[in-house]
Order: sequence, then structure tokens, then C-alpha cells
Amino acid sequence: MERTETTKSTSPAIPLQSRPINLPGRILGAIFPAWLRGILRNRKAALGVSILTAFVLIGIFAPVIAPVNPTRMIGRPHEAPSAEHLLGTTRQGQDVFAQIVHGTRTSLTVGFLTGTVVMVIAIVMGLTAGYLGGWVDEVLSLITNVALIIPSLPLIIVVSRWIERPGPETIVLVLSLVSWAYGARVLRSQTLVLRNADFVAAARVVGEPAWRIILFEILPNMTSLVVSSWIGAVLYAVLTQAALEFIGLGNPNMVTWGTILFWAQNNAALLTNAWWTFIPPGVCIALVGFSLTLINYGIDEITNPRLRTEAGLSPTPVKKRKAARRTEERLSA
Amino acid sequence: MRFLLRRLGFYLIALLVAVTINFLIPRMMAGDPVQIMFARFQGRLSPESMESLYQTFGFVRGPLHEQYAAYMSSLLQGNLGISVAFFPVPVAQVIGSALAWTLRLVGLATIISFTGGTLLGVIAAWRRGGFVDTIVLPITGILNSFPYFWLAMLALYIFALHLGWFPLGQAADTDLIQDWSDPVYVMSVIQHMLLPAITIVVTSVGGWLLGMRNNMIGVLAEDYITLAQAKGLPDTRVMLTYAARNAILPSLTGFAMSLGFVLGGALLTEIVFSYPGMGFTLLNAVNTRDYPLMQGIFLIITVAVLVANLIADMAYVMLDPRAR
Amino acid sequence: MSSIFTTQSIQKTRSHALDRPLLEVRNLEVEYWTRRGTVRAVDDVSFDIYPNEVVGLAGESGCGKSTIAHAITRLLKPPAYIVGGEIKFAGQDILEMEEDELRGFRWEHVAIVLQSAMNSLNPVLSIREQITDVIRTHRQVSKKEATERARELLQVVGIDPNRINSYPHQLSGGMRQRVVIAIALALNPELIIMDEPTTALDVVVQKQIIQEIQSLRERFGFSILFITHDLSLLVEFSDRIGIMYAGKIVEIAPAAEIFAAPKHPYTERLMNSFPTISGPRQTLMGIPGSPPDLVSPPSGCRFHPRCPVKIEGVCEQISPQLLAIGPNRMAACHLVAEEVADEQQN
Repeated sequence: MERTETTKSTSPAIPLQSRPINLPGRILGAIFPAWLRGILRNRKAALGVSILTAFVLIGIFAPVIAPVNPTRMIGRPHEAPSAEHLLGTTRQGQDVFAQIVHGTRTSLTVGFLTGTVVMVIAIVMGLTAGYLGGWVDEVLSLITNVALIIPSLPLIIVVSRWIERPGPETIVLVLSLVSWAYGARVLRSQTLVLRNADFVAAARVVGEPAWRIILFEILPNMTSLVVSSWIGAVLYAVLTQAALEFIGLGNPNMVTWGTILFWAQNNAALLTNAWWTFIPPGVCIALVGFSLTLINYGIDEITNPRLRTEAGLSPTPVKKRKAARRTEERLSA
Repeated sequence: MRFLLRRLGFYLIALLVAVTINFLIPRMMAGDPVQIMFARFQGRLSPESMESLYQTFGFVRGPLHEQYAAYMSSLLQGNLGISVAFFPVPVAQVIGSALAWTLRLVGLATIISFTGGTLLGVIAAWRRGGFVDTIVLPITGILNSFPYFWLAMLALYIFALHLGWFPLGQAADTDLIQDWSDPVYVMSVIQHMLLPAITIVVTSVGGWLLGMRNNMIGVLAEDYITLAQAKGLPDTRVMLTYAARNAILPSLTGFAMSLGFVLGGALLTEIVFSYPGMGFTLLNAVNTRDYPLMQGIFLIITVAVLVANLIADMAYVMLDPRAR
Repeated sequence: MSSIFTTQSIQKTRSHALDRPLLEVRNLEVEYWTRRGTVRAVDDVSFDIYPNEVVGLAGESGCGKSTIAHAITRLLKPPAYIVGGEIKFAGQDILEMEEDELRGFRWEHVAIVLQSAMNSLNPVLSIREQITDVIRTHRQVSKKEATERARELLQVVGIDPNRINSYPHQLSGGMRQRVVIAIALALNPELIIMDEPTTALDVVVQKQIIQEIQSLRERFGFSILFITHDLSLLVEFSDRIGIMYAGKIVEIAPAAEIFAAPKHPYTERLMNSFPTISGPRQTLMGIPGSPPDLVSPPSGCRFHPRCPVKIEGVCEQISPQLLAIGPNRMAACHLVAEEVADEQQN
């Protein structure tokens, strides 16, 4: 009997035992799975990554970009933007451009740090609950759901006030403790799905311990979800940090985007028309938020093909007469 | 019914947790909580009143569980202590008027935003690639990822300060006396509500829209939608009774999460507009270190959120026979 | 056409001649426009269904049989597009209908029963609503009349009419499929398309449902287009069978003939890969290889890479036409065509 190419492609599935041996390949595959490699080919995600990268670079090279000390009084109060002071000065005569550039560093650091801590807690809670199931799941899910339903912003505000040590560290700590629940819940549901997958069952039969299955079988298979939850957490942290500082719960002597807005509000920048003190920091926060959202849209589109279908789902498909004609022409040609 | 009872049980647990957090926060802080909390009452209250205030927050002599019991019993009597900022008005009374303003503004804005966003989501999924899907969705999505309080500042700056279309904050004209039978007063209240309400709707509608659209896209691929079309039913019936009614269920179960985010933004919007609701009062409490008021507000906001979720659950039960 | 139903206003009379085809599918072409390329899922397919006839379509999954089912009532969703051909019902081209016309046509004349009963019913509506809404959309009747009719329909498919207010999740899989069949019967349509109506059910229920469908057909006299990958089921159930491979019909013949003597090599393989419920014991054989990737289908006869009897130099290059190889019987195979030509010479 003739074997052709079509038959060759139906080679039997790779035996399960050989899977754990190819560890480097699997780790590489987990770090750079197909969706991540596709991210720069997705227009939205690529734009998001570019904007975010620009801000990260500004944060890293802040002293080079703006050598002026952002806390020093270097001009008259509320000077409008000029060649000398690109974004004008604050009420205290500080250079707004320097403040924005230097503030990038703190704002992004707090955002990414909080996002990371939040994700670690979320992974531990979500995967443990989802994989172990039973009463462990009951308890952890209850904790997660309670943490989810208690309104976080008022709680964060109350706790921050009590702590009495305003500053980025406090914000990271409080935000992390309060906002991990959303990620935990999302990861738990995905774990419930993966728990019943064949490769997990195989690992269980082979006798791998639970923590190994969670870390090496389940976690690598939900990297896209982990990354998008992480980005969501960073976004939440950036926005909430700015909000907390804006209402005076940050360290007002530090330069961050939120404290710039705090001072603008306190110095009646709105009423005195000093738009350069409150528009630029807001735009920066908005751009970072926008870039993170874009990246998440991109990941969503890559991993959820149904959302990607560009053609409408309008439920009455009409015969494509033009297309039909085109086809006829093609066939007759 | 079992579903609702289970949810009710869960909300009671959540409330208990919130109360316990409130009880523990002062006790977990470094330093003397009594000192921190009541320093500003010194000299303003008689020793007896001070004693009863200690009692209210469970600062009685004895082990932790006795303190907890004292705290719980005063809470159950509706006693939230006395406000520092509005001394000597009880916290419950301060919160009462703030809550009314917040319910009117944030409650109304949230209902509009939820129904509007959900409807737009239905349309976006139904007409993939249409106006809502390609224009409205990205715009509201972008707005959703912006800092709400900053958008509120911007709105205040542009529309109130520069263009003068709206009043500059507050809940009503300060010259007017609060009188709900006076049409001038009511008009003033509505005028003052418009801009903050629009801001809240505009910043929060994107979340509901995107969520509903994605649910709808999932539901539209279901066989029962194909069957409904094959039955020759009118498009509106397929879209609403068959698709949207199923697609809205995850939105209702996810209500808790979404409401949390929306509420945070709304409280900040109140602050920017100096709107005398819970958010603005909370800011006042924070600035004046009015701990009793702060904690009372946290508790009442939690209760409000739990009640809103219970309502969402009831809607869920009405819409999904499987939950009955 | 007689009806046992008491609700007179819902009945309709049928006047279609029995010797003319009810449904004529001519050169139907359906394409999926995907990012990988255009997939011709249904390629130049033609067949007829006569009144009161059961026509079966069989083939491996992905061969395009379900796409045909959806194309007939224009239920395909993008990226699937009907790009050519005609689908005539009682002489009227369905593909030319405007949306309003199409809505009136659907269910009135052609009903459809989908693959999985589990997902065919709206989980949040009672079965009463799901039966009456179709009646009230197409007929000017009161709610009460429609409900009365719904109860009768449930009775007809063997469900206690008192369960009319149940929701889908309160019914078993078999009962749900019966409800779907009841909905299909609601307007007494001339044709019911059944797209694998029993695959999601267990074997015993499957058998019951098939018998139910058979007796209902005897009673109401509708035609059926029955789509399945289960050939043995088709052989027992249908009058004529079409075998599909990679978007094309490769053989179409009366059920008994196709069972007794399959002509196309693919039909033969397909017959051997299923156990028959009745009939002699035989060794089961699979078909080597897998269905072709339709983005770049094989040249010539699409079955040639898997065909054990292919003619070198011919089958890879020339696509065989569907030829009449007997009364009421057609096949698309170079080998069969040669045999027929030989016979005619002798």
C-alpha cells in the first residue's frame, strides 16, 4: 500500500513519559510560548509594549533626561511652559518636566512591584485552591470572595491613614494585601479546567507531588492568563497609587505623578489656570494605563480566537453575490 | 431559594470580616491606639463621655475577645461613635446624609452605566465590526484605563470652569436651603449632579460594555442561537431573549468585582467635585484624622456594596431558572 | 395531509406534487474565508430530496455535511459564505430570498434538529416558551391556543404534557432531544434536517429516538435530510444515501444498493469501518490516513492519497465527475467510470 504525505502526518502522539525529560525545551516553551512570540505581531499589543518601553526608559534614564533637581525651586511660581521650563513650574517654582521625568521612576516601580507581589499571592491562593479542591478550596475561595467583595479603595484609605508612614513602601504593602483576590479567582477557575487535563492526570499517575504538578504542569500552561492578570494588577496599582497620593495619603515630599497632582489640587491649579501642573502627570498615568490595557487586549485576541474573528457575527449571512461572481470569474478564467 | 440563602450567608460572613478588620486595624498598629484614636477628643468630652466612647470601640479592660464582644454589642445598637470633624455629631448621623447623596449620585450613575454598557455590549456583539464595536468600544475601553479622578478634574476644568456649562462642584447651590419640595432646589441638585454623574458613567461604561460584548460573542456561538434563528424568530427576540438573557448572567455573577472598581472611581469623583457624599466625607475624615468617622464610612460602604450584590443575585435568580 | 392535531388554526395544507423534488440543491459551493486561506468546504454539490423521502448524508467529520445542513436554511455564519449554486425549495431559490422572506420560510417549510440536544435549547426559557414562540411568530394564534398545541406536540413525542413548564436543565438528554423534535414538528414542515441528532445520546436512547422519528414520519409524512457519520444507522433508516468526502459527494444511491454493493472505494472503506446493527459479522477496518487539509486539498480526486486502488497517473491529476452508473445511482470515481464504460462496450 502506498503511504503518502497525508498519512505520515498522523504519527502517533509523543509518548507521555518522554515529556518531562525535555525540560529545557519545556521551560523555554513556557517562557516564550507561541502567544508571547505573537504579541509583537499583534498591532494593539505592539503599540502598548512600545509606549510602556518608552516610559520604562524614561524612568531608568531620568537623571540624564532631566538633570534638574525636581524638588528644588528653580523659577518663579506657576510659570507657564517655556523653552527654559518645558512644562512650566509649580506653585513652589519647581520644574514640572523634571518632576514628571523623575516621577516616572517611582510610579512605575510601585506599579510593577505591587503587580508582582499581587500575582504571587494570587498564584499561591488560586492554584492551591483550584488544584487541591475539597475543603482547602472551600476555605481559600471563601477568603478570596470576601476579599473581592469588600470595597478595596475605602479599606486601603483607612489602613493607609492608620499606618501613619506614608510612602511608596506603605502603598505597595497595603495594595498588595488588598487587591490580590481578582487574580486568585481568575487563576482558580483556569486551574479547575486544567486539573482534569490528560497531562495532569498522567503526572498524577506517575506520582508527582502536588506542588510539582502545580508549578511545572499547570502553571506553565496558563502563562497568558498569569501575564494578563499581572498586567491588570500593575494597571490597578498604578491608578490606585496615583489616587492615594492625590488624596494626600502618599509622601508629599516625594516626587511621583500622584503627588504632583496632589500639589496641583492643593495649590488651586484648576482655578489659577495652571493647566501644565495637572495635565501632564494625568496624561502620563493615562498613557501607561492605556499601554497596559492595549497589551491585555492583544493577549486576549491572541489567546481567544473567537474574539479575533473580524467578520461580523451578524446571524443572517447573506449570500455574497460579489464573491460568487468573483469565484465564477476565477473559475472561467 | 437555596441559592439566595447561601449568598445571604456569604454576605453575613463578609460583613463579619469587615467588622473584624475594623476592630483589628487600630489594635494592629504600632503605638497606643486609644491615644491615636481619641487624642483629638481630649478636653472636648467629659470623662464619662470619653469612657463610653472607649466602650463603643471595645477599648475595655480585658482580653481581646471581651473587647471584641463590647465592640460588637455597641455596633449592633447602631452606635458608630462620635465624629471628630463634625464634633459632637454622631458618626451615624454624618454618614446618613453623606450616604443619601452618594446613593443618589453614584447609585444612579452606576445603574445608567450598567444598563447602558450592557445594551451597548449586546449591540457591539450583534453587529461585529459595526459602529459600537469599532468606535464606541475602543474609546470607552481607553477611558476605562484612565485615572478617574484625573478625568473628573479635566471635566471640571473644561466644562465647568472654562465653558461654564456646569456648576463648580457641591451638591446644590450653597445659597439655597435644603428643601426637597422647592423646585428651585431640586433643579439645582440635578444641575450639580449632571457633570459628576456623566463623568462616572463615561469612565465606567467601558467595563460593562466589554464584558457584555465578550459574553455575547460566546453565547452567539451556541446551538440554541442557531436554532432560534432557524425558527425564523424576529431578530430582536433572538438578540434579547435568547442571546442577551444568557449573556448577562456572568455579568451579574461578576457584579461584586466590577462594582468594587466602579465604586472606587466614583468616590474619587466625589472628592474632585466636592460632592458631599461618602467619598468626600471620607477624604475629610482622612485629613482631620477622624478615625471613628473613617471606620464608620468603611463599614457602611461595605454594607451598601453587599446590599447591591444581593440585588444583583436576586436579578440573577429571576433570569436563570437553574439558580432557583 | 392529515393531522391529528385538534388545534385547527395551526394546521396547513400541503399541495406539493409527490413526483417533483421538494428540495433541489444544485452546484452548491460554500467557502470558509480564514486567515490560513480559503477553504472550499462544500464543492459543487448537487442532490434532490423528494416529498416523504429520507436522504442520508454520511462522511467523516469535516467533510462538509453539516455545512450543507446549515447552508440549506442559510444559517452559516461568517467566515462561511455561500459562494455559488442554487438551493431550491418547491421551485423557489432560498439563496435569493430577502431577510423577511427567509424568516417566514424558516421552520414553516424546513425545520432543523441540531447535533447536541444539550445545547439546542435555551437554558433560561421554559420549554413551553420555546415551543410557543415559534408558533406565535408564524401563526396568528392566541397564547392559549399555542400552549394547547405545545401540549399536543409534547404528547406526540412521548413527553408528559404536564412537564410543559419545565426548563431544559430539568430534563434528561433524551427528553431534551424529544423536545427539540417537538419544536421541529410545531409547524408541520415539509422537510426536517437532522444534523447528527443522536450523537450526544447514549445507545439505548439513540435507538428510541430513531424509532420515534421513524414513526412520526409515517404519521406526518415529512421528508428528512439525515446527517451522520454513522453509516449503519443510515442504511437502516434512509431511502437514499449520499457519501461525502472532502466537500464533495462521491457516491449517491438507494440505501439498499449502497449497502449491498458500494461502488466508490471510499464508500467501501467507510462501510467496512462500522459495525452493522444487523447483518453478517465482518472484520472492521479503519481507513488509513486522515481527511485532507482543505486549505490545500489534494490534486485530482481528493481521495487519491488514501485510495488503495487508485489509477496511477490519472487519479492524482483529473478530478472525477459524478456519473450515473445505474438507475438512480451516481458515483465520482475513475475506476467506476472505466467499469461502466467497459460494460457499455460489451
